[in-house]
Amino acid sequence: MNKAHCATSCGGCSTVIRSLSVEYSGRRALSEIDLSFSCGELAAIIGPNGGGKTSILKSILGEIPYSGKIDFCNISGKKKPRIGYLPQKIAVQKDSPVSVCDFLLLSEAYPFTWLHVSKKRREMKIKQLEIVSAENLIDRRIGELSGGELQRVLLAASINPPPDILLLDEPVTALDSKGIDIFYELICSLRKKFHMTILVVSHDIGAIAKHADKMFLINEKIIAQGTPSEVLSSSEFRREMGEVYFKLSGTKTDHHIYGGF
Amino acid sequence: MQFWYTFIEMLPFEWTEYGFMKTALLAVMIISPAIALTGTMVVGNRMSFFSHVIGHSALTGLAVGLLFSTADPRPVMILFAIILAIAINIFLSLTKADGDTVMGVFASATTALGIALLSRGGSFSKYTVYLIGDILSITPSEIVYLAVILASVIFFWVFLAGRISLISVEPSLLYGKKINGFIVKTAFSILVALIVILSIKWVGILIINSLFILPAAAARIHAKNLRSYFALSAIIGLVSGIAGLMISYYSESSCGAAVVLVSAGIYAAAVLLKQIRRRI
Repeated sequence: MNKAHCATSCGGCSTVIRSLSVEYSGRRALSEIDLSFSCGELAAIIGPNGGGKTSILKSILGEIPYSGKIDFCNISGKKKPRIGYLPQKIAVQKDSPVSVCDFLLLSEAYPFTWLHVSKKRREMKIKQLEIVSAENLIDRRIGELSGGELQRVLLAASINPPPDILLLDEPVTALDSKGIDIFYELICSLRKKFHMTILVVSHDIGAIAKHADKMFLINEKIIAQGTPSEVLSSSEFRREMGEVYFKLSGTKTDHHIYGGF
Repeated sequence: MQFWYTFIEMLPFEWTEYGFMKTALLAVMIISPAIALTGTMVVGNRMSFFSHVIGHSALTGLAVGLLFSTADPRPVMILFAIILAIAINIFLSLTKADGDTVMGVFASATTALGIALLSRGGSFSKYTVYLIGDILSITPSEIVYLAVILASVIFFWVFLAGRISLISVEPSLLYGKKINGFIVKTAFSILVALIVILSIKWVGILIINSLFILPAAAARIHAKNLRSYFALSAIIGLVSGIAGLMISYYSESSCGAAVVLVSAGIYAAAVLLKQIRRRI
């Protein structure tokens, strides 16, 4: 598999998850899983629906109760990591009058967005959008953006200030196949630039496999882990995800076949 | 206050002779932009049914308030509305029930309870002023209630407008931002409850919700960003407030109704303008 190696781990920072368990009203979503990630690493979490993928992200965000330990260390020792999050299924109101510039200011909690936005602040937001090549969207209303445009704006918001860990939940469902490649290339370049851990939950196994350094197949437990090619060629993957995926996994195919899962 | 009266008397209109009109004009100029501005976030957060509930629950609040004090039931009414606002928010966040349905239940239950309590002995008619409202009945000393409304709106806007705006875009964007969506929304609900109860006697239960919704709905269509949304809504509120009062003076009909009709007209014009712009 032609994988773009752009990892820039300093070896000093890491996120370590130990025996993480999550329950939803009596039903186990995750049981006793151990995961670890380093900075500069792009890790993919795949697995069947309801297998607990999103629960991992929500535990890291602290949005749901869990048992187990989630630790983040950097060179200067343990600390609370800064987390960036790109949510799944963003149902932005179509008639929302919030502009892209407003939105970026709101999401960094600038309290006077409603009163006045100075030229200087606007320039800063244009620079922030340049990172994701979306500077031309600055004055558009957020409800009027296309799926791909919105995605880039949300990404710009989630990497400001640059987080230690960036969590992406099904980031490419709104994109076409060209958009998906552009998106992952962008993610890869951000990882180089900002030296952060990126965790992607995705059904789009073909696309993510091209870019990820590590892959975890999760269905309540860790079923398989390793490099994408190791995971995709494993017998566990075949058993868990079915024959169709197995046949397609080794070859470069159109991601759409995975996309509709 | 004296400055205001002197200023108004300089205007070349017939109605400036009447003290009640001067007070009513001042009241309208405070109340309608404040409600319209708050309405931007009522509309933005899909809470129009919520302000409807608080408005209708004022009947129950009034009945309970009259049990404690027949002279001024307002303190108890405010307390009742705030407790109800918090209760609805807790109920919604605990049950994950559909907001629309829950509001429907609360609205009908509190309206019915209010009517049942107030109509005991067959004397509901003396409370109809609460249904329709009468801005002309406001006294100069009661302007202080409106000042409270204005101060609460400004206070809320300075500290929380940004957060509630972000929630309105998409609640899940708050994850990892250390913003407690529940607290922000509850605080906003309390603000709405406070405004509704403090102004209900002059605006009327049947009409108050329109004052929240219509200016914001019109402003939303044309606003380029958050600032123009807020400004447009407040201006539309102010214009329809003043125009409505004047129309009601000359046509001798209810002021609240006239205000709503003017803002409905502005809304219709805004929709039409948008369609025309799109075609060109």
